[in-house]
Amino acid sequence: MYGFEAMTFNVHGGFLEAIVRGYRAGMLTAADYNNLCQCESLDDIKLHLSATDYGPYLANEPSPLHTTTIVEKCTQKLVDEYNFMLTQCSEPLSTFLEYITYGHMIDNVVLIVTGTLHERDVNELLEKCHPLGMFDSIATLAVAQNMRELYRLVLVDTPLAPYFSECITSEDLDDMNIEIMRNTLYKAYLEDFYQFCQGLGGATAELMCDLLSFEADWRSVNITVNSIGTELTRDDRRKLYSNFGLLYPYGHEELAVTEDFDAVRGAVEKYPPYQAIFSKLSFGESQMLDKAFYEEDVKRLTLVFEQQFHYAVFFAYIKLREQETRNLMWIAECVAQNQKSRIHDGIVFIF
Amino acid sequence: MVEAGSMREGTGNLEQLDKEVLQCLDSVHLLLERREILHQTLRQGWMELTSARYTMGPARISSPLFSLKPHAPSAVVDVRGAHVDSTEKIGVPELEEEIAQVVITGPVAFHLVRNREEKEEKPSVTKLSDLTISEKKNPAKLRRRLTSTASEIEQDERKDRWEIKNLTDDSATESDDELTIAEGSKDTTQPLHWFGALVSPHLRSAQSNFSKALDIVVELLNAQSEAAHAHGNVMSLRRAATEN
Repeated sequence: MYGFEAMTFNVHGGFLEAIVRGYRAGMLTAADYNNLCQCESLDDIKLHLSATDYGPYLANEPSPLHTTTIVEKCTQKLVDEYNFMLTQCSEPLSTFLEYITYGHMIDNVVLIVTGTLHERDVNELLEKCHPLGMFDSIATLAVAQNMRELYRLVLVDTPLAPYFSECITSEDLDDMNIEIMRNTLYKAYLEDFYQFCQGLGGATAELMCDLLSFEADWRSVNITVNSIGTELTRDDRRKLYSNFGLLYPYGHEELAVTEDFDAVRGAVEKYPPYQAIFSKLSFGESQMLDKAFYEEDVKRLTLVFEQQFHYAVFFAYIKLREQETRNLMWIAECVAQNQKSRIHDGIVFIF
Repeated sequence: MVEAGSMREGTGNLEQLDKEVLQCLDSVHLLLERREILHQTLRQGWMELTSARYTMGPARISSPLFSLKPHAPSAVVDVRGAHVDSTEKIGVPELEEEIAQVVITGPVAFHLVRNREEKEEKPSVTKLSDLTISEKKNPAKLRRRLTSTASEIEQDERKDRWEIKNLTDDSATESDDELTIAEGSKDTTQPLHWFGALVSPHLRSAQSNFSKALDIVVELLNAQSEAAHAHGNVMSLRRAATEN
């Protein structure tokens, strides 16, 4: 019953909530970002990061450092922390934590299938997969010729199996079909996660449903903007939108028929939470849309930590760490390309 | 009289020398300008690529996704003012074979020849050659993206796909023998599609910048060729003026 989590939550979840709040305290602050922005080389960045939680991961990396190495090590730190929490938890937290990784699993499946379509070596593709989304039979994805085979040979034994019911066809895998498969799977995953969180009830349901609704709406806007000028038809576009969220169903009806960015703005600005996002952008400007959405997302994720005795802190921590990795990647790329004037364009301050 | 004639000739040579010097300076100015524009365009392109990696994720935009399928180049550079002389070959120790010499007959001009498919930013027709075998047998199962009939598609495919780009006014009167129009290959590819069908606008912008950089490189080559040719003329006129 909502409101009485304080009495029972700590029995099974207290230790891990304390752990994740400790992890959260180790995240980079604005002062750290200011120091990093003044670095002249990637070795300087490594030197500054050695005084943070990333120190042990970067300490043994030889010079010259590469931006992909920094991203890999930051991701490895997150994976280690996630695995520690997963091994320590019990139900239903373990299922909740596993749900968080299904998005990465979908991305890995699509990466392997796309790379195989382009006649790339599977081992090379496996190195690029996200560690949180790995599963045992992932390498055998390369043998599938269409979605039916993909499901029958490999994915039927994975957690993604239930999400395939909407996209099993015998059509050969090409660029557009793969993209539609990716977005259909992700839509099914988000809806399933949403229902699972609703089933948990209490503060977890309230906070997670809000976060997942925002993610679903953001995906809808992204799909719309990315599909402008492509072969994706209106019906196909509409089918990729999730069946929940603030924009469902009337916002989706308007988004499905938009043909340019200003029409997207017109469709989404009617909803007050998103009006603040678009107010930061001038008309016709779509370049900063992603950063505006990231900033709103980070704001919601940080507010989750203000409340106790719920699972949303785990979700928020992982998403904030991923944002931190993106920030570090951006800083490293700007330093490597000697474009420090653009360094603040991609940083989203977290705390 | 002879002295007046030689003075007139000398004055004419000096005027010609001045003209060639100005031409050389103009070419060098254009060359430096093009280099700067190329530098800025490439910087912008790489920055847009980083932005795309930021939004789509580093795994979705990485080198393992580049297609290794054999495909025709999206653009070739047509060189005029130089031809290959197969009668005289020179030995190249590194290659362990003889190669034909390239003979330069005048100012070398470079022209970029693009595949028409790359120029179409809004593909609206699914070509018959792009369909898989199962789709060709069962067209009813196709998604609603095929907007042309099969006969119209075959007619389009028979047309020459290559277009001449960057032709100057002077070259319009040249004979067709000097033009090198290649037949379009069916296996050309859109590099943007290697990363997915629904990519970020940043990635499209990066592709556009790199495509523009290719045009600027060709302009830069032409400017360099003109500058070198003008410099050669200046030196020969100076030598002639000194001897006189």
